[in-house]
Amino acid sequence: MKELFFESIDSTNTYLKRNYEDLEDLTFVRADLQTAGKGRNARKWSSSKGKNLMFSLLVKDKKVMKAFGSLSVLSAYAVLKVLESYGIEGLSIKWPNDVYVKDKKICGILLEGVSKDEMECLIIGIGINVNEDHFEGDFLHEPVSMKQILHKNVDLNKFKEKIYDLLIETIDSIRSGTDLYEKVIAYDYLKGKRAYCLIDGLRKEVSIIGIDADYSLKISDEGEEKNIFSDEITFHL
Amino acid sequence: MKVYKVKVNGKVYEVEVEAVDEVKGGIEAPAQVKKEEVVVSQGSNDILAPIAGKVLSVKVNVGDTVKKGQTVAIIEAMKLENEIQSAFDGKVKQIVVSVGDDVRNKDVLIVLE
Repeated sequence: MKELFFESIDSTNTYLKRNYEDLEDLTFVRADLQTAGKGRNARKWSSSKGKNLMFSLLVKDKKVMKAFGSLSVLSAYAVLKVLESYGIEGLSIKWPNDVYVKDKKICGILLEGVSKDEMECLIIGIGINVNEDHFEGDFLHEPVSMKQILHKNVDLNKFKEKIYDLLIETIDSIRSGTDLYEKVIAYDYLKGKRAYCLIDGLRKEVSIIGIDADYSLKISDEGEEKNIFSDEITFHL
Repeated sequence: MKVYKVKVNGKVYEVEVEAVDEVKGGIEAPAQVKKEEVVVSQGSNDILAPIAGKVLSVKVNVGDTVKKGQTVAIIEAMKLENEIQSAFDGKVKQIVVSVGDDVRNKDVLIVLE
């Protein structure tokens, strides 16, 4: 397991996209501060210096890359299990790849890839609110940190080691074909909820059936079951 | 005979439509439609979709010079934002896809000359 650390960088994901050819499979890149941190759909990811865990993991194994459809959800599952080991209750995975504590977001994940003729690498970017005291600004989803829940500082290094270890273990499961689906669906935040979503340009109220076996999201639209794959679907609860 | 260009799933087809005269009573024979498929270049400098997904963005315009390794488009699939980089230097001759298009694996995205 190799880690590159930066006190300050634009974005750990962007760093890996620029340098993946020269780096080994399963290289971690971590930063204390990101000046241009990214979320999905070009949103920003902001964090105070040194208080939170922000890193990206490079994947170059073809077998694991082929299973990219499951990687978002399974990465979120790995983070969730480590948070659970700290005694945090009310954890869930909000499809496709947020970790929630009750109705607040504690972790965001951005999965990016680089392809030429075929996929060359996958980058799993993870941001976890660890010791943030308070959050300023406007957020799409209300954030929360481990410190706010546990009412004490968390040792960032020890936490980081646990996260890294479980992520590697999760990727090994994917490589070996071990199915984690039955374990994952126990933490499905959206299951059974009603939500608005945009389908083919129309805003519709739908029922969420839950995360399906291929890690897409199954919904019921006026009695018709559909699977959502694309990130263009926006949910408003 | 009128010629229309029709784009279906990212591929452009040329369709010739012949107007049929009105016939009173009986069943009209369907108009004879001659469909000509415009074959988008399958040359060695085509930039292809490496996976099926949706086009999130196109980063170049026709006429742009592209360098090997330059990002030309982003395709989203199963929550993965996939940067498509050019495997060679060239000049953009044709952009086959638009933002929001669904593409299949190996569909031509951009043609370079």
